[in-house]
Amino acid sequence: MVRMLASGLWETIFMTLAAGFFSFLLGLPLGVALFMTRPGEVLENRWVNRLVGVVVNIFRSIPFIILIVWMIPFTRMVVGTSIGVGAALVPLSIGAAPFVGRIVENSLLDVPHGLIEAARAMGATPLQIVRKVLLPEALPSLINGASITLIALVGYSAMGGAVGAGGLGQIGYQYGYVGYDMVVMNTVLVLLIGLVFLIQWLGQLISRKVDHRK
Amino acid sequence: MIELKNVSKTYHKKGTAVAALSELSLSVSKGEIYGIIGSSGAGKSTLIRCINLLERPTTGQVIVNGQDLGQLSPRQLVLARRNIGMIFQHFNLLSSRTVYENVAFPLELSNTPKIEIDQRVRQLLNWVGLGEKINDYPVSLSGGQKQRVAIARTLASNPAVLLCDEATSALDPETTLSILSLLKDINKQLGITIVLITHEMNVVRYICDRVAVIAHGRLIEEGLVKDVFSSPSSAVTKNLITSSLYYENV
Repeated sequence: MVRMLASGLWETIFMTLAAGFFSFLLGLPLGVALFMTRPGEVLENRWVNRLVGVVVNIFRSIPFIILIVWMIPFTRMVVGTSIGVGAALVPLSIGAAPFVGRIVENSLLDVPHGLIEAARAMGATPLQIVRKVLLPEALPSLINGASITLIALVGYSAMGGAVGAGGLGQIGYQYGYVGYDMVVMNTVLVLLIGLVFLIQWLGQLISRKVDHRK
Repeated sequence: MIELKNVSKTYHKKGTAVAALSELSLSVSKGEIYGIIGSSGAGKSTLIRCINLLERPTTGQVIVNGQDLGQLSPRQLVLARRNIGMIFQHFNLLSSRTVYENVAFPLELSNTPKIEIDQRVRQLLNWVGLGEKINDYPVSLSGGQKQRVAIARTLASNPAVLLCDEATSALDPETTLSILSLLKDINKQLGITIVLITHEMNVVRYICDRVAVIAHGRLIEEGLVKDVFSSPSSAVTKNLITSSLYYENV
């Protein structure tokens, strides 16, 4: 029993971190694109901005449990199966990417506009503005965004457990919902709560470390 | 050095057109300190942003160092801007970088070798009197120190022109004087042409060779500082002079 819970916990942590990584890989460029193409920004482009915005909104409105099922053909194509931890990563990453995109966009909006202006005046290219001004200046807020994302992913991965993704979610579902084993269900809950608190605490710690504004 | 020819800038806000600048022409010669004065809303800010094309004029030409900036490709404009320094009212230092890294920033943009960056940054920070603050973050500096870092940063790329956007408006009188005399030194020792905008008469009086008075996006009058101030030919200029005297007496 303990071994099962430990491997479930490990699977959940792995899914959360790996999906977090891939969702930032997809979501960071989305958020940067959303920000840079806004009216008044360096790469102002109304059509690109709207198109990306619409795609992001569509994906954000699909309930995650439906997204998993809806994406099964695509998931099979990418990882060859639709069951297990690896298969869960595909919908998890794609489900969280637009969420990350909006979080990144919001973080970048908080960077004082004068800094972008100063960088332009010094002859920074748009790419240099992103890499050397926007991302470093938004870093504390991006890290907070990352912990929000990871916490959402803990929840999503548990949901994925209901359809065979593995992890604590699956254990909680099988032993709790199907078998009604209170001890296992409550242990799963405590582990999930502990995981969320840990992510939040680490996020705040790192965010404060890199913040030089106060 | 700098020539603006019939520059107009029109903004569109909620369907109505607002003219920030209309048909404005002026020229600044190499090595001079040129002041642009006007009350708030006169179009000063737009005007100085047109000189490095942070704002693109709706019509008209901007010529700096013999280059018509409006004709340049985005890449060429980026390169041209590295030759035009700018400092701001609110300093605009990067909070995530130390004093040293802030001054290194423009050199990183042009891919300067690390050793050269190191030499240049140390030399500049000593020159503006902040050699000891090298590893501090901007948050721990006073307003005057921040502006000195900003000045060192903008000088790093050896610009021919320095634009000052209300550079002393957020500073107390004493600090203002020290920054203005630093700007004078930059002009004298490095031969950098300076254009500054301000709403403070005394700034112009203290540092500028020539001055342009603008109101409602138009050039009202222009000339040597002593001529314009001793015999103002327009009501706008007279008002600016009276109000600056008024504040001095309060």
